[in-house]
Amino acid sequence: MAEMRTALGMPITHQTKTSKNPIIQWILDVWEGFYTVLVGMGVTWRHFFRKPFTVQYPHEKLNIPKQARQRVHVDIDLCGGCLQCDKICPAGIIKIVTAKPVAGEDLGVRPNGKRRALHIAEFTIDHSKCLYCGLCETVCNDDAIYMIPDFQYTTRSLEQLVVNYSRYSPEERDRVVAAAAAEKAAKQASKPAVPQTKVSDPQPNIPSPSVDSDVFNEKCPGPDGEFK
Amino acid sequence: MSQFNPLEAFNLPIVYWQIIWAGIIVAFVTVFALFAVYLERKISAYAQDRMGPMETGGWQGWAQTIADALKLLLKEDIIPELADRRLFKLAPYIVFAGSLGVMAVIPFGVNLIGTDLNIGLYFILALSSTVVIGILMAGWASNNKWALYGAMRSAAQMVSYEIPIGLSLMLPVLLTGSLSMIDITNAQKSGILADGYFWNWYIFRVPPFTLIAFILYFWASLAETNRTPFDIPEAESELVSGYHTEYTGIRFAMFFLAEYANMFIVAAIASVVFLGGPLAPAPWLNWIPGPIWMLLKSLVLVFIQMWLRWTLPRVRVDQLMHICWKIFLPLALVNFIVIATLVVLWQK
Repeated sequence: MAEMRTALGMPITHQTKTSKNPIIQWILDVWEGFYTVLVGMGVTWRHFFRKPFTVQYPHEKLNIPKQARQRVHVDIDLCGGCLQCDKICPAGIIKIVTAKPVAGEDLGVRPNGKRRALHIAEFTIDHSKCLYCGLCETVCNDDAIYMIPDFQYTTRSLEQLVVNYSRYSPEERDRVVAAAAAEKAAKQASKPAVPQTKVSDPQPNIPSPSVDSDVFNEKCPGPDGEFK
Repeated sequence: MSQFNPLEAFNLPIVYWQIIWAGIIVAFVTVFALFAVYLERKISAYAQDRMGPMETGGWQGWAQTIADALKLLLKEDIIPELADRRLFKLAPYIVFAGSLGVMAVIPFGVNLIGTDLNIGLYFILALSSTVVIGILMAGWASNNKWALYGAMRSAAQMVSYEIPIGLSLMLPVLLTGSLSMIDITNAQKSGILADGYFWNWYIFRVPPFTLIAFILYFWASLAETNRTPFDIPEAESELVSGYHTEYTGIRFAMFFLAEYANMFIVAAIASVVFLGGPLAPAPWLNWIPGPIWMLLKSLVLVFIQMWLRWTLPRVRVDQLMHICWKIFLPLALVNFIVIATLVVLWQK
């Protein structure tokens, strides 16, 4: 007799007893039904004493992996104002307003030793639209923008999710922006029309990629499918 | 065994005592339903490696069912527009009264009983049959296909399983020679072996026939109370909620209460008839009063009902009828004939 298997292919270890006498067969069937119920109850009984899998969420939390992408945070002291995060953000939720310091004003040094060249007048992130791609973290030169382990930052309104990380109040922002604009206007008045032509000039020193360059020869597989 | 007799102790006319006892029973059933729902949630949770309610009331969420009951009482009482209003309103009371009326003849102590009818067990079987009428009434009056299907299934199932239940309960009646619940309890005090021990209970009296009768009664009572594995009348996945689909608020609470009261009642009947009811398992445990033994035995059986519910899947309608008519009924009949023959031989 072939080995009996269940629909899922598991071998049936418990062999059903059979008899040719229908009354004995009936008794065997009834006994097997009763016995298998007891087996099932034994399984349930063992589960009663197992440690529950569930976690009482607000009181206890599971450990979240270190690389998990959660709430974006900005360490504004490190930020150099390069606008890389603003440019890469697919959702366009980062708004940065920078202003050059006026002549003679020194903004000091950032904690990472670099000179602070710009006022970060405003650094606003609309968290309600963040899609947690982590690109801003990747492109940041100064490690100023990164994910922090905080995934539960519910607020009462959408406006509260728009967070300004800058140390400048709106009045200070307007002041430094106006001062920078005034100084720029003054400079342009002293040197008229020179920067305009410079910007519109073509840039001859930028190398354009060509098939003959070393980079392409290294990366492209040859006709044999091998790398040269 | 405590021989406390409330009639003598307070010197009350029997009518007053019965009114007080009815109040106690209603309060007890309500509290028991709250407790049983909580217990069921916890048992289902631990059977599935969960925790169940943990928040409401602090420790282990003990106040969860109280909060749920309060919420249920504050819900709007909706009667469907096309429902038969009179029957729709009447049905929950019939179901609840049928369940609660049975409690009148269940002894919680040797003298602690609503009324000691000389047809006690017959009264129980007769009254629990009226529940079927209430359920059919609810299903018909709701004017809803799910409710009607649930009610029809429930009626078919309850009427079928009355027979193995009746035949199983006849065994202790044959052995006692009386239908009175008090007589059945007292008859389990003494037997062939030493008096006052658990082996005089009817479940151990004529092995294995009374044991089989007990198991048959217990399984058939699961069908009688519409519980898993025989919960096809309210199979959530097929019939929304069965006969009480259209009910809300206080009327739904009545059905719910009756359901959990029924669980206790079938457990109480099983413990009185087969497990000695308020009798202690050994003479040196007689200092613990009878009602505590009675509650303990009943609660253990209620626990087994819940344990079974979270172990077994639901059977199909044809399997349900197969189990009743082709397995339970022949077994119960053989049991009945054997015990009846033995009783006749003993009396000669």
